[in-house]
Amino acid sequence: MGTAPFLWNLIGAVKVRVKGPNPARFLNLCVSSGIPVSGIREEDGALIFYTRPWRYRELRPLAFKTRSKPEVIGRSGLWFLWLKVRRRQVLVATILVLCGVFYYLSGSIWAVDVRGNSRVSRERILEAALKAGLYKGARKALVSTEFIDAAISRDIPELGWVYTSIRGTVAVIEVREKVDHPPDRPGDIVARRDGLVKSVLVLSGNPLVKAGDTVKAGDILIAGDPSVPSGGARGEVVASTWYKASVEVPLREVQPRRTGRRVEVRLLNVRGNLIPLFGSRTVPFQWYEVEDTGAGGGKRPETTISVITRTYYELVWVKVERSPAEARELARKRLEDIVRKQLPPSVKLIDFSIEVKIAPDQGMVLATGLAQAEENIAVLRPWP
Amino acid sequence: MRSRMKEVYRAMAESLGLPLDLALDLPRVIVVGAVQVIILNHRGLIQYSKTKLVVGVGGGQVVVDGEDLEIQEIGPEDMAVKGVIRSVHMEA
Repeated sequence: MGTAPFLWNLIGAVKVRVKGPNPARFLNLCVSSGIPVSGIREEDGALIFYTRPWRYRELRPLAFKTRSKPEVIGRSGLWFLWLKVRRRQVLVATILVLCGVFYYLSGSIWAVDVRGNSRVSRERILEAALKAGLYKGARKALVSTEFIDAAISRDIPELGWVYTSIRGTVAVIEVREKVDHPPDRPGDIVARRDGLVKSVLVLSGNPLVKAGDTVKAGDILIAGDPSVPSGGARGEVVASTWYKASVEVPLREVQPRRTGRRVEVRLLNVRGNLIPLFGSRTVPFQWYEVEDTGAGGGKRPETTISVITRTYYELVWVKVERSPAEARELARKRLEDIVRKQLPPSVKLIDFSIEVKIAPDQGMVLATGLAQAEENIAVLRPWP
Repeated sequence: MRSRMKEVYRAMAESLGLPLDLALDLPRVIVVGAVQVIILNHRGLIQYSKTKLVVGVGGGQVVVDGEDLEIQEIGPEDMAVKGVIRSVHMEA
């Protein structure tokens, strides 16, 4: 079956079947009359072709001349859609108005989000943005993000970096606050924590300790000279330090454990307000744990609209009995976690030892961990 | 007499380097592989079926034989035919 070209189908085409003694002559008459025809095929002795719907009437006298009989066997294209909808002018007008309103509204900013602030309040940043012309309802075309950035930076000197971007109808102001460096006041270098000095690097001042000395937190390591302007001490003191932690793991205890039963509810998160959508509004369990999942759930509840799936897991309290070996292994794991969390990221871990004591009379295992580290313990203590 | 005039026209067109189809009102037939035939300067459709198409042209007829022949477009002077083209020949 022949097909009309794409544009014919898009604009409007009627599929016509013509039966007659001389279809070739009929076609020649169509061409000489200027009637557009396309996709001409012969099927079962009849001629099938496409023509424009608004030229169809002109075929009739030609068909009469050639004693042919035309009939419409198909319609396609926007022309016929227009014929249908032009009788429903209110519907068309409503759709057009809605499209217009939607287009207009999509050109405005409907939410302003602030990210990256901690000490500078969100309200202060929003107020500075408002002064610069960025607010809910502002037209996107009239907002210059470079101007907003410059204006906010000028109004709030505590901000070191401001970047405003417009994503859809949401304006996002990303900021980085300036880091407060302590004023470069002169003073002594003292020990931040206890340690065994490994090396001393003096940039200015008099060293009071040397490698191999044991120091306590607060001891002066490098002394400055108060009689000289800018006579403050500067330098680094690397020392071995120790971090200690202990845990107790009972041989018998009662622990919560999930039973496998759970209940899910869907909540609509609108700017932090949770509206129940589906599921029970009361939790059918006496003891339970809650887990929230869902796109954007809880990330920025004040600016997002999202659906959160909240799952309640039923818990039971079960008695757990451990052998001393199991308790010892568990204690080792917990201890490692605790000590690793204590260590600052810049500290180099040298050694880690664990001492485990089993106290069957108390029904528990006691574990003590000792981590040896190497770090710069020098810290400036300004003179009063 | 008429054929002699044609010969004169032809000789003149050839000597002047003019396109013969324009000078002598001849058809120009373009065959695109075995899938399409374009006939320019035709004088109307004489016969059309799925397997045979006869088109009137100056000086005779162009006959296209093939299968599933379909006239894609037809205008007062040009015509595009597609299908499985077996042969295209001219009949006086």
